[in-house]
Amino acid sequence: MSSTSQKHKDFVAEPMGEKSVNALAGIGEVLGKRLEEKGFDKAYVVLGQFLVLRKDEELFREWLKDTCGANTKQQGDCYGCLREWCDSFL
Amino acid sequence: MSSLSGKSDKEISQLLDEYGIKHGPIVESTRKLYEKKLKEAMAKNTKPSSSDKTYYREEQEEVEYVTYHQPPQLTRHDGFGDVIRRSKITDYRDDDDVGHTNEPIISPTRTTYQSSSRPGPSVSKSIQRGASPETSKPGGVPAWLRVLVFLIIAVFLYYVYTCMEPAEETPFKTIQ
Repeated sequence: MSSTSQKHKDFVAEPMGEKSVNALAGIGEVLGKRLEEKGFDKAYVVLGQFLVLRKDEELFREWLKDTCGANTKQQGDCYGCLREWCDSFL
Repeated sequence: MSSLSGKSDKEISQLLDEYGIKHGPIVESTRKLYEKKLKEAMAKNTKPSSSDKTYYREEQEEVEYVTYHQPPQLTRHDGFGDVIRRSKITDYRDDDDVGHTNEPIISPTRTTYQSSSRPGPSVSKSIQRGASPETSKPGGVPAWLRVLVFLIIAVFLYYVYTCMEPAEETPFKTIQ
């Protein structure tokens, strides 16, 4: 079982509400800024994209890489975070 | 090749399906991603719906193909790539949809068994003549093999039985 960061645990523990995109695991300041520039200013907007991509890992990872330049680890963290959140709350 | 960005969402969706790319709805935020994926897929293979897509090899068995040369009826025999195990040609000649002619040109061709729905120039019925010539049902163990195995086991058990120590004497011999 891979360890998850505190950020991940915090995010999946409750409904995301109006949390900023920086609250997502794997998304730090730099990536968060890039996402905001593209219009993804809230975590739920990224969630929307995640859902529209049918929660598919490969597609979401690729989208994240293209949109904000996330590396493999960041992609994985963000995907895992959103997936787990969906498992609990969707 | 026409520009992908000029295509409608539906066309993009169709293209993605042709290339076998899993996708969601084509919306504004996903469009660019799918166009990029299509570009990559097109660069890899020039033909989107290549016949190799549904082509897979199940077993490597020698199969004798009986080709019926009938040009027009291609679409009806899409699933004919599947092996139909027949023991005799004559019994199943006009069984299926090959209903029109009774005297097709039969040219036996020996090729490896493939289960695929590839469209070919001539319709072919495959006859399983591989390891089990006497079987009449697909996937069944040949009868003679079953009998043979049974006999072997029976003989073995009999041998074991005869070699067993007779139980008349008490196994517990007291040392005197």
